[in-house]
Amino acid sequence: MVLTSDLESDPVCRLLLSGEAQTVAEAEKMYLELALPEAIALLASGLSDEELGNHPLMVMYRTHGSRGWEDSIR
Amino acid sequence: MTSAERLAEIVDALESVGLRCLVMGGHAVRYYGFERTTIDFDLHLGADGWDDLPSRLTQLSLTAGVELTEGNTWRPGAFRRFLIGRLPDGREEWLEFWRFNHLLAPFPELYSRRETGEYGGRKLSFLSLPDLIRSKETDREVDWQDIERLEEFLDARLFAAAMSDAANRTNALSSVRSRRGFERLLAEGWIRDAPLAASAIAAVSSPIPWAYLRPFVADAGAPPQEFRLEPLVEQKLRTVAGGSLAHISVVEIVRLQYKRLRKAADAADKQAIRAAQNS
Repeated sequence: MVLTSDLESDPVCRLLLSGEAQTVAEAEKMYLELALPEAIALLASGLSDEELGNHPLMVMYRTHGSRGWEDSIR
Repeated sequence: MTSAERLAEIVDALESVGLRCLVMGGHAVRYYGFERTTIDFDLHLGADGWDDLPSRLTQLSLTAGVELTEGNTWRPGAFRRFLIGRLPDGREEWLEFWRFNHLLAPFPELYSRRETGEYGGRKLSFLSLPDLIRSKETDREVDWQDIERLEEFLDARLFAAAMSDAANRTNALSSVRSRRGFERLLAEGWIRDAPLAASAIAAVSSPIPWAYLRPFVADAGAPPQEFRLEPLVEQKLRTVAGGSLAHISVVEIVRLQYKRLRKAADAADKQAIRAAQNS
């Protein structure tokens, strides 16, 4: 398996490799800021609620957003 | 002596020379339940005693034998800091005072909303939790980490108040800012109570509760005037299924935009002060 094949195309990896971010979490936060126009455009893309909620970008916004309750204590 | 006990000692000493204050900053964050380390003593003072603050501070028993040093400030008239000694590990111990904080209401109003509670072995007065959250909406990322937790605590308090008295439900809904708070209200069924959600959304003052409530209200007005949402975001909030992962995602987009706007406003305020000082 070649681990480097997608590094250049992955925006989070690019931020890490360029030194703009020191950690994955920091890189993802920076990316989410940069990706806001893309995220807003997604809202109008015709995706269903389920497709939109499972889109990797939306998953990342939730991961870095306010915490939900753990499934085990719901 | 713990840093909480040291703070209690400082507030005692300040009151002994006629200085009334409210605790803000890291110690207030700890008081409300977020256990994190802090060595800063941040206090909000009234206008009384501001001009002769150094002479009053030199009267304090806790600075006896230590030469009081006033540090530089880039908000003259609003913020002052004094070196009062050194901690056992050698770090400097600073007392920081606000007379007027650009993010907050004037002191008398803050004082009227204060919360008094046990901390460091005595009763101290703190900024109210909503005021503390507002004071943290700066351009510093570390303050937003505090906000994440403080919002959860505020939502939990408002939920508890709403559980004990139904008259408080509108306030719990119109103030909700954390996902945990939202999920609690959803599980209780209150957000799906159309008249209740409609009265709550009419009372919101932040775009975050507005975004949480919007899918549950058929005919809502515009979001709070101060914060214009992107039309695509507003439109999506009208149609997305309330409580779905897609809905939560849109709320997080709104949260990020709100944070960006608040950070920019704070940075612009600092920039204006620097520009005025350099001109």
